[in-house]
Amino acid sequence: MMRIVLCLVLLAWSVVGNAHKQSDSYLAITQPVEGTTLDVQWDIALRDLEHAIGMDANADAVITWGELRQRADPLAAYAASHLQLAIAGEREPRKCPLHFKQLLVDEHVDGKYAVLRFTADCPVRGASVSVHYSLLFDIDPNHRGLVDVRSAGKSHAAVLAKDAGVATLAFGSAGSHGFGSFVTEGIWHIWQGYDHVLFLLTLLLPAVVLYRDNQWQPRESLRESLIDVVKVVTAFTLAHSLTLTLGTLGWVYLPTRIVESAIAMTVLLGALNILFPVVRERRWLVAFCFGLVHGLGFASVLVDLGLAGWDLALALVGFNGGVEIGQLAIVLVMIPMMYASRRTHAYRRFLLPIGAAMVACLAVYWIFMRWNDVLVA
Amino acid sequence: MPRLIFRGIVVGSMLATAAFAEPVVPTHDSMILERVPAAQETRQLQPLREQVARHPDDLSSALRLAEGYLRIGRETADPRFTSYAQATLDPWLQRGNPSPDALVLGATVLQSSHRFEESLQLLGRALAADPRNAQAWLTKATILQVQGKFADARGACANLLRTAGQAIAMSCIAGVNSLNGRLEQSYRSLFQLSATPNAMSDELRGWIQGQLGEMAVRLGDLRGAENHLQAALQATPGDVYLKSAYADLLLAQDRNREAIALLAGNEPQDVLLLRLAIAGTRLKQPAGALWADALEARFNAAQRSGDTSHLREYARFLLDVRGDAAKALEIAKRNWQVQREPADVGVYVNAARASKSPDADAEVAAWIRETGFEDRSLSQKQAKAAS
Repeated sequence: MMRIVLCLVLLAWSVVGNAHKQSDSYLAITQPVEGTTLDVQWDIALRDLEHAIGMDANADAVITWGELRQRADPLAAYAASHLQLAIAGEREPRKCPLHFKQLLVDEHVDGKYAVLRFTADCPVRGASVSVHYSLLFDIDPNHRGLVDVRSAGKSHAAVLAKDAGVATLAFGSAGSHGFGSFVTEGIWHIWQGYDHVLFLLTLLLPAVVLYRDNQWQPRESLRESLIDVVKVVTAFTLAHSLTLTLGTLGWVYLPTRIVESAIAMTVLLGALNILFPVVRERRWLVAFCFGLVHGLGFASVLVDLGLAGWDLALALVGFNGGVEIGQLAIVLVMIPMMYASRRTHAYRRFLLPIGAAMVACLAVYWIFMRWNDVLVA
Repeated sequence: MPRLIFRGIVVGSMLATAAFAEPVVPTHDSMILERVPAAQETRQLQPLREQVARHPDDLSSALRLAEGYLRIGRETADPRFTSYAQATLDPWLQRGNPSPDALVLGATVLQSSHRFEESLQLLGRALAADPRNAQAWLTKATILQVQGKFADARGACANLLRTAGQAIAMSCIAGVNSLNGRLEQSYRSLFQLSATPNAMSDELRGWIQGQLGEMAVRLGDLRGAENHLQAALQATPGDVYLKSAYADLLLAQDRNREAIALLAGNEPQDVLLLRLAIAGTRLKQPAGALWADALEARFNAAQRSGDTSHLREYARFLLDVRGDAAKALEIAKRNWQVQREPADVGVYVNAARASKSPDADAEVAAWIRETGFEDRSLSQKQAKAAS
């Protein structure tokens, strides 16, 4: 009777329910920009490991770093036996064996976790990775694996559970990001990449003026200015669309360091052309030639995503469209202001020369930094 | 699969914030990383666990192991142990004709993750095979009571008279009736039962005193409630449910410092951390903000992995800590669809009043009229608000 009563009371009270969160592990799989080796980081709760393989060696109800460290190898072997990664592309998936690298510790909301770092050696680079996950499911059917696959700044996630322990996750494909996000990406790329904006400005600033008698004179009609603007913008667009496409498809390739330095160089030359005008009427030609360089810079963004086929076409069109929208917005804001102020002393004597000189200085700094491979934010 | 991936994408962006800090390599071997809950009890189960692993056909060992895990799960309020019980039971439940005892323990597992309907289904199967299974009747009564199905709950309690004895049957019926229009009468009969000099296990005494304390709160007798809850905690010290009830009693009287003293060191348990956060926030202590943030992080983490058994606590957190009445009402409304214990009524009513939502207020009022639910602490607040 006593035993049944004890048990009854226990059961009746179980309705109080969960006061903790369930067991989760956090699995992050990262594909570097180049190479076939994946970085794998796996955070597993120490409390889970205690029940699974025993962590508290001296049975004193606490797990110390010493106890964890001494069990590093069996722990890594246990974890690795419950995870299979395979790289998937157009052909059938190919396995990526795990190699244990390092054991660390991190804190999550519900306590301390062992952090296991592995590398996974895949035979090829692929568009997606398939994850076969079976950690703890034998002893804890409610355990979940929160998987996050990252590459080139994009991330795809899945929640794996006992009855759904397999997922195939793409390394940043256009399918889930969609056309719209590439348009946005293009707009932001041109707005945030000051080099592109400044280059465009060095070509546009002189559009409302004419170089005559050794100085910049205001143009007489809006029509003349607009024709000039349209010529410059169209030439720039055609050129960078061309090299963006060629670069993304891999038909033209230049190392990033050279492309980025060359872009900075175009900014410098554009600024110098305001101070010491060499090319006056045919600035559209400059826009075209230098636009070719800028297009290669845009291409590096899409190349990093590692897209292929239809995804790539979609991304290309969307991203290019975004760049044009961003560029047009700048033109629409700048031209009316420039046209309205073209006759002022400040515009011709201050903004044009001093602005150009400042841009030139910045460009020289960029050239130096980029050529020497110093990271600039 | 696509659903999982979709959910994954939704939560994906949040994953990056899951960790508090960068992983580190600790400098000293002696650094304590984690405390193991119920280490001793778990170790005592170790021989049983090995026995079950070696002899998967040994039902009696499997049941005892599952029961042990459930007990630790209740004491520590760590759902991992409930899951371990589930893993122990699953092979037995998947057989053609599972034993009633396995079904009852399986139902308990489901009940503690608030899967009430599935739990009732297993209990129905257990009772069909073994109509005299006292555990099945008591668990069934408890679920029906939580769901607010009082007539059915009383029916289940009545079956305990011939299967488990008078004391348990009476406690069961008093618990149901106290929510169903007969609060004062239930309190008196349960009080008499507790005063009889019967030999009673600590667990049963703790259970009855806890129930008396909860009823006394609703009767507005806060001093009596305190005595009962202290007696209950003496019988079963460290019980999470009793501690949270006692903390609520202190909080209701603005005895925030005493609440913090009672709960100090209980941060790992979400329900107790909630009370600490409320007290700390009221006292404007720096710790209050830390407790509140830690608790919110846990709610977010639970939501990410699809766990919805925190709705009651989450609604109260939004209302009493964050002061976000509108969102609290939204969560309390969802919780109301699942469970209707006094705490659920309380948080729903308070959220409805705070966000001035006459619809929700009217819904609870209709339910109270229909069931005869009594809670003077609620009507006192109402009177205060009216005056």
